[in-house]
Amino acid sequence: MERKYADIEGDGGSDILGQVISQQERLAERMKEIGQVIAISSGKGGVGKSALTSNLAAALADEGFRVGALDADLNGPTLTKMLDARNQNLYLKPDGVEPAIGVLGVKVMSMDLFLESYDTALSWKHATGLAEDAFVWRGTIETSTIREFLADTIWGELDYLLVDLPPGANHLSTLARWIPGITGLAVTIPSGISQLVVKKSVRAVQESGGKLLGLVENMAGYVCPECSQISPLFNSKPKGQRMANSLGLPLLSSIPFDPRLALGCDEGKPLVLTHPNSPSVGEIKLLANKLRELS
Amino acid sequence: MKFLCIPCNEPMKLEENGSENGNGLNLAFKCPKCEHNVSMLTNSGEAQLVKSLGVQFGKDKSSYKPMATLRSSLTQSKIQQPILDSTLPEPVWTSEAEERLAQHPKFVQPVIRKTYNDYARSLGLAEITLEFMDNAKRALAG
Repeated sequence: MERKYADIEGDGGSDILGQVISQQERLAERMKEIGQVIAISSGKGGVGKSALTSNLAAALADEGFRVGALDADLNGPTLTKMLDARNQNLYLKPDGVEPAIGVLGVKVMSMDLFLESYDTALSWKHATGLAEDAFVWRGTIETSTIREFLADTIWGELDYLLVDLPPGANHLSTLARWIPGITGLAVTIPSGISQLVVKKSVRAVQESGGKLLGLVENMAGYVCPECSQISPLFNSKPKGQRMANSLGLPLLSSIPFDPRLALGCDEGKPLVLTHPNSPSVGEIKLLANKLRELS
Repeated sequence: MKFLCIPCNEPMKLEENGSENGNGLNLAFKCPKCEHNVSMLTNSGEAQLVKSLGVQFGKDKSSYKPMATLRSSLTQSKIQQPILDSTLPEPVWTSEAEERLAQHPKFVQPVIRKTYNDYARSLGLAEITLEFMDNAKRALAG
């Protein structure tokens, strides 16, 4: 009688399945110590996900919460700079790697901490010897790396772990397979192009069963650093509410752009700590409060 | 992936574990009943794809090493330098050193503490004193 794959017990000794299950168990064990895992996502690049992540992390830490920040953008990592966690040693222990420590004690893990210098491009060793083959497996190894960042970092007990995702539609769905309780924020800006792309990515998350807490409209106006008056940054008025309604999501925040925020990101000093009276900071703190309520 | 010995209708067992043939794999399987052997040979691309998942044929899952896939896969990294095997505990800060640390803005204190701790651990020191802070500041300023 012909036997099929499922008819044969075990895996013939390769233990591939056992290793995969073991990876998932380690990740689940690590996540047990973490209250909320929240991914900052967007289908569009350049909408300010990392700036929002770093300021949200600082706002939550400033409230006394224990916060971690994972930079899942392996090819364009920025969180170590934004949270002042560069040039630190990583310590390898039997149960994982100690993360870097950023402002207010935010625990940070990022590819930046592994690369030879901060302008070194991410590149992987490969067995084939043919760089042009890399497209076949690059996505797989980068997904494995994010899993290792989550599972093998000694996060300790955290109230919040914020995950700064690279632009794209599928990352949150991938994380949701590993971390069932993960939720996400979708970030957009008031440009038509951004809203078009972000809508697609939100729908992709929704169709895959991923849970989004709501929409954040970033750069919703320009804050004058002198008088704190807010004027339009884009030609169109912010359309976040309309977009949120069309996606069936709450609009959690409309954050105006304060140019001092960009400077703070460059200097590793989040705006929420240096300019607490900025209207942008007010919105970010309100968003942090909403996350607490939604948790 | 499983191999079936058709004459015996028996699943074959992995005999040799992933000995590399060039950059591919050479895996030997044996039927436990008739002891017939077969080899599974992969090309380097197939071997790479499996490795990218963070698994190896026949690897003992208890041989866990943190971030093993990442640490073994980066072309250019400073892994050997910054990832330090450490059994040393966190250095202890004297009260004078703590007082000096407290003069910095609250939000940067954890970063400064980590920087001094890293430097002390790299030297195998267990205590942060004012003298150590002065020396470290000069050394780290380069």
